[in-house]
Formats: sequence, structure tokens, C-alpha cells
Amino acid sequence: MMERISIVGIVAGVVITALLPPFLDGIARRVKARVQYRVGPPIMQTFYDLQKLFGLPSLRPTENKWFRVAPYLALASAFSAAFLLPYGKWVPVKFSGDIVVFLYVLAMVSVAIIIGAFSTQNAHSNIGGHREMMMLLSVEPILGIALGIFAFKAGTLSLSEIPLKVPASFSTVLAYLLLIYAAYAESGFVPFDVAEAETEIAGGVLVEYSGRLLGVLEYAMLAKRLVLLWLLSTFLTIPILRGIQLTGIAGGLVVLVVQLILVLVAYPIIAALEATNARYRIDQAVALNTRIFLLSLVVLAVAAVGW
Amino acid sequence: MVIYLLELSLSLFVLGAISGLVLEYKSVIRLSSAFATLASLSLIALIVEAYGHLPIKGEILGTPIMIDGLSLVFLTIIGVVGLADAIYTFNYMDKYEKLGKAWVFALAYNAFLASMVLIVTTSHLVWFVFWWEIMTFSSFVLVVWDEKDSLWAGVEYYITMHLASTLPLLLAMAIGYSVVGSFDGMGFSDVAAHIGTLSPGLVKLLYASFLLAFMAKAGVVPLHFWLPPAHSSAPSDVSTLLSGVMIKMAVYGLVRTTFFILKPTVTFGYLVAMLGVVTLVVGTLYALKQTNAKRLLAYHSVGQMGYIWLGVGIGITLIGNSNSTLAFIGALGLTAGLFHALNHALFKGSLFLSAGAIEYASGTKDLNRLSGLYKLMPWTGIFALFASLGISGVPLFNGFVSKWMIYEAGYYSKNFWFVLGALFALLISAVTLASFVKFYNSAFGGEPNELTSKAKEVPGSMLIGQGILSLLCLVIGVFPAIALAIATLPVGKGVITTGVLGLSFHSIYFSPVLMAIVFGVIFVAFLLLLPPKAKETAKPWDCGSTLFPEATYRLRASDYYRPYEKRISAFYALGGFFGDLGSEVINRTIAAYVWVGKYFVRTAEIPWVTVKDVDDLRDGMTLHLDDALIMPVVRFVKVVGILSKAAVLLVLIIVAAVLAALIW
Repeated sequence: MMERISIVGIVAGVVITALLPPFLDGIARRVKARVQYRVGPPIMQTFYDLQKLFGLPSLRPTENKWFRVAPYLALASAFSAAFLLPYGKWVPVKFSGDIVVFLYVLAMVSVAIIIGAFSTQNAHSNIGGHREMMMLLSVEPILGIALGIFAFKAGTLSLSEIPLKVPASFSTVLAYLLLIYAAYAESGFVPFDVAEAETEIAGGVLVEYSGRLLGVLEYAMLAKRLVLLWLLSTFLTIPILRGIQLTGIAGGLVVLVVQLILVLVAYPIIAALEATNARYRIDQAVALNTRIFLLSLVVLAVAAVGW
Repeated sequence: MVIYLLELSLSLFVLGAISGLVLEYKSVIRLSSAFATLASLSLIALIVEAYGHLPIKGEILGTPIMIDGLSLVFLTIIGVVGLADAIYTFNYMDKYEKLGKAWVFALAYNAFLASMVLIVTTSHLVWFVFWWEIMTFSSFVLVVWDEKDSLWAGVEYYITMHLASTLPLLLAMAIGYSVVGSFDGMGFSDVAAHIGTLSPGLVKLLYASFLLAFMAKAGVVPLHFWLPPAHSSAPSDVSTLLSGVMIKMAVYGLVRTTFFILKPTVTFGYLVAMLGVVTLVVGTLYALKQTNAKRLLAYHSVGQMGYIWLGVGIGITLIGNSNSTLAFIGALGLTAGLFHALNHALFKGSLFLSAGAIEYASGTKDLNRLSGLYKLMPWTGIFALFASLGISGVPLFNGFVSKWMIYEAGYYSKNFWFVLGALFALLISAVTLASFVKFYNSAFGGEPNELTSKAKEVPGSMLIGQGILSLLCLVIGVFPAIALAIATLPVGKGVITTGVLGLSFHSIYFSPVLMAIVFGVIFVAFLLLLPPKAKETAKPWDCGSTLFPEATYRLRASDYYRPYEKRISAFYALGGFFGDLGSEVINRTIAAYVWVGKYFVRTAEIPWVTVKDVDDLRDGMTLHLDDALIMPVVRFVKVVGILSKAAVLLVLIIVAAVLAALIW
């Protein structure tokens, strides 16, 4: 049991997963503001928002206990998934090394949000939950195919081994692209933010949440985005550094720094994408996902042929 | 000792079966359920006793018995689900008190369970077929219990079984007889020893007939059409046994015949796996659009059976492979399939019991009309939630572990078709989640409406029944080693390493215990750090539309996933075509039955019914369809029952006496 736990990893994982998401969101808000010729809030604005929300009491729209428990379940799921990822060379708690398990644990965030959204008698909230499900339903197959290609090409589904073993081939490059697309859509960035569409369904899954519960739920959503991004950055970092001999603590730190840099570079790009896109309607989002899914089937066939 | 426990269990079932002869309705139900409960408990004792001493050979009533690892997997299913179901039945059957005929229930219910115990323990092909028939017949009697809506479903079920399950099995038996030369010598191993002398054509026929027989029983596409109507119109405790236990007998039969009579071949394995993939896709996508709670669950039984067949199919294909890694993946697939069969028995059993509880409390199983039951039935709510999470494959619940093992077996097989199969399994897993989001939330989410506001939590015995199965979903999800200790018996140790923490194979591992600790610590930490401050209540915010009827301010079950269903409407249309084709075959068969039946039963003598063609049987006048067609036996028993219960009592006492004599 002890060999699966790394204290350094836990510290790094908790610090990064707890503090980085609001900070990144602050950056994103600034970038979006600049794209739209506004000044924008201070970088720490999301921290202030969360601090304020955590201090406020919540209203209770239903006696159903799951309404109150769901945000915490979502947050715990996001953090559990974060604990499976490597920070430098340290993995906090390796309860599995398998990427399928990782993605399922991460999907528990959505499951918890959906349970919360449906516990109330509110059509907006229900529609939001329903959309969250539809997104999961149409993104999951794409993720599945990307994984299928990795298993086919690298011969493994291990989180640490895929980036080490994945061969540079046409289909694996496409598998990376599929993974990036799926992670972006799964994170609910614009134009895929259909589940909490503020202007359309008044916040959807968030509509009944207020005060501290809302803070916890938003925090969970931000953490989930970071976890997906961290996975991608890990998958890119290790192949980049594969050629260089990195050992010891210094090597681990180098990997950690590169992971961080990639995330910090990626987030403003995502923010720019968000600022320049309009939200899809749910049917458009599902239609696009279906098209990508069909495309990815072709990629799988390409991988099977051997390219 | 093990054989004695088996005899004890069977005698208890016999006692349960005859307990209906002397008392009034409620006492009969209680007494027969009590016997079934005890019988199931002795089955569980048998499993504990037999574990580690396998295989065990013996004799009961002159029939040869063999209990090996495979039998034990399925005995576990029968024992555990039987226990929960029998306890549930104590109170549940009160719902049908008007119908009377408690003694028929006692007889059929116990015979059903006992016949399945004998199916998985006999080592003789003829007895296998015999108990198979008893199982089919007793389940039929239970399916048509309310004698109204269920009649057509029951008849469809029984006729399908005759054509597609019994007939092929008889054919297989005949082929077996032709090589062995006597009925007595048709033990599984004897037939297997003689199989070499068969011509290749006959061997193929043998494969085909076994496959067909088990496809029909398992509800594998395209022979699944009987399953949803039969499972959804039977009483819920019977549905639990049908979905949880009976269709697993087909998996048992498939594995038993493929590995112990025939030889696992690559082609056959591919066939089984591909049937599995088709079944899991078709079954689950159909389940997605159901709004009747029990029909939804029944379609998921089809879908989940697909997962099991995919796992077993990968096993059959790869287990004999000369490459040791692939042979290992084969063993993994087979274990995953059997493990999923066990898990499915738990969560689907629990879900059917919950659906029964919903119907018991609110009087409907229409998800469109249900709402807010969580407030009124919190225990049923929790149990239904756990089982829903189990079937959806959410980590920390049992369904996840076995599904994950199936994906891994598919992905690591390095075979394009199996990768594709695993991929579809993954996709369909999301559909399953979607479907159970609908099932759970439309019944338990929101606030109670006019219909449900009078609902009360169901009696304790029904809660215990649900609780046993539902909590096992969580327990096995966190400690899969418990169930894997049994599920790995058929392939032997060494394939999957299980420990207190979790399981590992190859270089892959998953430790649900560690995950539970991590998850639990974080969850509790945040709850303590930021405890929910939500004292003040408020009505849900409806954007200020003051005249909006509050009861309708939510998503109805039929409105879920509309856009998605539209997207795959071509698929549903295709399914509809095959559905029509299937009904046509059934109709023609019934017409033939009627035509033959006219020589034996004067249809005119049945009051109010003039049967000219099949539609007469279908519409309205189906009241005595059973009499006209296939239930002269039931009618006979009924008549005997009315005239003199004493006569039946005598017969059954003799049976019991014979059994007792055998035990001592």
C-alpha cells in the first residue's frame, strides 16, 4: 500500500489542483476581456468570487439531501482523479495506473452534478442536467476511440506508459487530436458550455445553487477542467522529454515545470477560443460530436491498417 | 456434506412448494417464502462449504451431480438473489391477494428456484434438458400470473422457448444419444469423450443447436423480443428471478457446453462475441427510450447480457491461443463475463425489486407519472440509486469493475474486432448511465405530485430484499476480491491477482479500496472545511412565471434524450422491422398451434371465445388463451386443485417422502 503513495505527490497534487484552477480562470477572464477590448477583472478575481461564495449561506429548494451532498461528491471526484496523475515524477496515490479508470473517476464529477441537478423540481436545472448527460453521451465514444488507438499502437493503456511507448505515427497523432477535442468538449468550454448556459437556461445545472454550495460546485467544475488539461500536458510533456535523460529529483522537477508551462500556455489559447466562439445549441453540439465520432472510427481503421 | 446441503436445500424448496395446500393466501405466501429463504440460505452454506473442495461429485434422486467452479459461480447467483427475492416476496405478493391461487404460486416459485439449482449442478445432459424444461414451464406460470396483460407476453415467451430453446436442446440431445447409444450414459464427460466420432456436419449442428438454445434463453439479439414484455409484465419478484437468475442459466449452459462438451473454437468465439456486441448495442439503445420502469429494466437485461457474451466470447476465442499473453487475455475475458453475470444478478435484481416497490407504493410503473418519491421512500431511493450506479458502471460500484475488465480484455486482445467491441461497450456504458439518470431521477427526483404524494415506504421485508442486493453492489465495488474469489474459480488462480486492496493482472491494477479512502478523505475534508450552510428553504426559481403549474415544472421521462433518439431514429426503424418480423413468426406459430390444438381441445367449449385466427386470441378475448393452447396441464392442475387439493397433497407428500428417504 505504501509504495503507491507519494507524500511529495500529494502535496504537489493538492497545491496544484486546489490553487491553480481559480488562478487559471483569472487569467482566462483577463484574456477574454482583452480579446473583447475590455480591461477585465484582476487576475485573482476568481479567488475573490469563491471566497465570497464560500462565506454566504445557501438556499434550500428541496428537502432532498442529494442536492446538498452532490457538490461535495463532484469536488471529491475531481480531486480523486487529480491524485492519479503524475506531478513531475510523483503520483499522489496510485490507486490505478489505467487511463480508463482515470476517465471514469473524472466522469463521476458529471454524475454528481447530474444527481444534484435532477433532485430539484426545476425545469431549467433538469434541462441542464439532461444536457450534461447528452454531452457525456456524445463525447465518451470519442474518448473511447482515442484510447482504442493508444491501446492498439502503444500496446498499453497505462497512464505512465502511453506517453513513453506511443510510436510517432499518423494515427497516434490523430488520436492525440481526438483526445484534445474530447477533453475540450468534456470540460465544457465555450462553445460546449451547453449544460450551464447562463443566457439561455439561467445557469442550467447551477440555477438552484447559491452561496457556499454554488462555490463548491463551481470549484469542482474548475478543478475538473484543470485535471483534464493536466492529463493532456502530461501526455505531451513526456514524449517531448523522452529523448533527454532525466533522473532523480532534478529530472522530476524539470518534468513538473514543463507540465506547468504547457498548462499555462494552453489556458490563454483556450480562453481566446472561448472569447471568439458562440455557444452551440445542444443539438449542434451533439451533431458535431457525432461527426467527430464517425471521423474517429475512420482513424481507428487507419490505425488497424498499420499507419 | 456438500451433497447433504444440496439435498437440504432442495427438500426445503419441496416443502415450500407444497406449503400452499392447507392455509389461506397470506399464510401460504409467508410459509413458502420462508422455506425458499431457508433453502437459499442453505445454498449459501453449501457454497462456503464447497469452496476449496472442488469438484464435488455425488448423486441425488439417482441423478448424477457435479459441483465445480463454474457451478459455484451460478449457485452463488441463485443463492444470493433467491435469498433477497424470497424475503421480498413475504409482503410483496399481498398485492395479488385478489387472485388467490397462492398454492400455485408456492409450487411454481419454489419449483422455479429448485430447477435452476439442479440445472447448474447436474452433470448429465438429459437431466439438464429436463430441469431446463421445468424451469421454462414454472417461469411461464409465474409470468402469466395476473392472467390479463401478461398473457400475450407469457405466450410469446413460452412459444419462443419451445421453438428456439427446447427444440434445439432436444436436437442436441438426440445427437448426443446417437454417439453415446444410451440415455443413461449421457453425462457431459461421456458425450465429450464420444464427440470425436461425429461427422463434421453433425458437430457443427451441435454447436449451432446449443448456441441457438442459449441465445433464445439469454435474450440475445435477434431472439430478444420475448424478454422485455415477459419481464415487465410478470410480478416484480418474478422479474427479479427472470432477469437476475434465469437468463444467466443460458450463460451457464453456453460455458458448460462449449468448454465441457464441445471444444472452444476461434470461429465460435467470434460468433459469441459479435452477438454480444450487437446485443449490447440494440438492447441498451432500446432501453434508452422506454418510459415504463420495468420495460426499461428489461431492455437493459438484454443489453447487459450482451456485455456478458462479449466477455465470454473473447474467452472462447483466445483461451486456447498458443500465445500465452493472448491466452491470458482470453481467461481474463471469460472471468470478466462471469463476474459481470454475477454483478448483473445483483444490480438488476435490486432494480427490479425497487421497481416493484415503486409500483407497490404508488400503483404505477409509468416513469412519466412518477415524481419526488425520494422524500417519501428514502430507503428504496438509496437502494435504487446504488443499483443504478452499479449498472451504469460508476467507480466504487460493482458494475464498474467487471465492465472495466471486459474493456481491458477487448483493448489488450490486439484484435481489431475486439477493440471495436470494447469500444462499443464503452459507448453503450454511457448510454446505460443516461438511461438510469432518467430511471432514477424521474421516479425519485423533484417533488411528489398528486399521484405519488400518498405513497408510503414499503414494508420492512421488501426493504431487506432490496437492501441485500443493493448494498452488495457497493461492497463488491469496493472489495471486488470477495466476488472474484468465486468468479475466478472456473479459470483457476494466477490469471487475476486479487488482494485486500484490489485486483491486478498483467501490469494493470485497480485498487477500489485505496480509491474509496482517497475519495472519502477528500469528501469528508471538504464537508468539514466548508460545511453546507443551507438552513433557509425557498421554492425552486421558475423565472417569475407565477401562473406556471408547479407539478409540471420538470422534465418528463419521455422528454429525456429526444435529440439523441432522433439522431439514431434510423436504427430504431430497423429494429421495428425486425420486431414485426418476429411477431409474424410467432403469429404463424400460434396459428399452427391452434390448428393442431383443435384436434385435442374443442375451442368452442371455452366460454365466450370463438377462435378463428390469431387476432382473436390477441384482442380482448385472450382470457382463456392458456386453456386453448398450451396450458391443458395448468387447467388440469387447476381443476384438480379446485376439486380436491387433497389429491395433489397426496402426490406431493409422496414426492417429499421419496426425497426424504433418499436423504437418510
